[in-house]
Amino acid sequence: MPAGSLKDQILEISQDYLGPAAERFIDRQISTHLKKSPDKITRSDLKVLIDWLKLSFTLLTDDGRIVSEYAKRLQLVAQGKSQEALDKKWNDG
Amino acid sequence: MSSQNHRAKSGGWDSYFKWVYVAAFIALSATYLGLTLIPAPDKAVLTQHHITASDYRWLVYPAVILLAVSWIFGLVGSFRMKAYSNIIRKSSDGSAFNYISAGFLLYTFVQPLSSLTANVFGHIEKHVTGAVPTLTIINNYIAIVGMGIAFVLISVGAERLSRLAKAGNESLMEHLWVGAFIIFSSIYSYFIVIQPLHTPLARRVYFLPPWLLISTIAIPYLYIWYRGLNAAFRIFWYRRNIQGRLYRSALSYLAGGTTVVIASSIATRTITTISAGLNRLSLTPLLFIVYGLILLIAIGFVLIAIGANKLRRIEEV
Repeated sequence: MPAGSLKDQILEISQDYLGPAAERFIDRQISTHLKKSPDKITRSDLKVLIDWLKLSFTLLTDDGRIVSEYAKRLQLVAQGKSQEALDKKWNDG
Repeated sequence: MSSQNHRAKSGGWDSYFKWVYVAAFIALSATYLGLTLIPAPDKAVLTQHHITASDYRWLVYPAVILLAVSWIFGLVGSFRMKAYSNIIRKSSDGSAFNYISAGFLLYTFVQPLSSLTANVFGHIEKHVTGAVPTLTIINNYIAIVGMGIAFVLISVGAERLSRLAKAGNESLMEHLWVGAFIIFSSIYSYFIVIQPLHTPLARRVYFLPPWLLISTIAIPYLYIWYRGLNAAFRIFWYRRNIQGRLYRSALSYLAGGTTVVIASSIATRTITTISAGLNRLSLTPLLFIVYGLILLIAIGFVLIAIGANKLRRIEEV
């Protein structure tokens, strides 16, 4: 079952790492770097957004595995494989 | 990282209130240190423990300085937490963290305030012997009210926080900690009851008849401690059931620090409350216990500051 909007899909993945802070984190990245309302992002915005999210994420943890796992899951959303991205956490254990 | 950094860092934390708070805190702490360290030691205390004035200074000065250092850690930890709660104040968890940080700010302020009050009362009592009972009673109630309001605020915040997490099976953990608290309450009540309430020694600590001692000291303390420990449990429970690996990792410091501060504070107060029994101990082990508890409170606030900084970082990138 595909998730909702692009923002919802990214949010759902981000919540696995940032919990209740995830929505604030995503909204801040979108409005600051894309200069857009968080609900209005399109698939064409995703590449830039994912780069920013990954960069910001590296400032939050020294664990490279978490950063690359997060980036990979976001890339799956960008490729339209939203369900796979949401399930990936379970496959990765 | 983002253009919102500056706004996030300011956090809306009212700088006027902050500086008034810090100025009052420094004034209270400095006055307490002056009144404790400058006057000559009480001869009655030296006689009771068979020590010289020099021994007394070597034993007491480090404890007093350690106490002041722990207050400073408390100030830093509380402010870090307040800054974090201000950044997220408009969100659902922001309100909960705001209560918790307000509780810690009050707790931190009450420490030098109640120590100074006790010290000033001690000096007054040397000159006005008839004032001893009244001042002792007032001092005991100041300690209860200060700790009570702080712990209730922390508890309200922690309960709000725990309601935000997905419902989990808390019954076993809750039963375990409530069981542990019942055991603690029973031991505490035992120590209160076995104290010879009608002797001059007990009167020196409370100056209250047994029914007032039980109803206005023992029961309120047990209620306040229950709220405090319940707050620590709720924060751990929230940490356990909330999503977010990095968020949970930061929250671990906060939960651990809160538990250490509350538990050490309760242990300190328990020792004070049942101190008639401890008077049989010599001064050195008593001071080691006090050193240890003060150190634990300082460590707890360091953990709170680290946790609040990590959580704040998430909100700033």
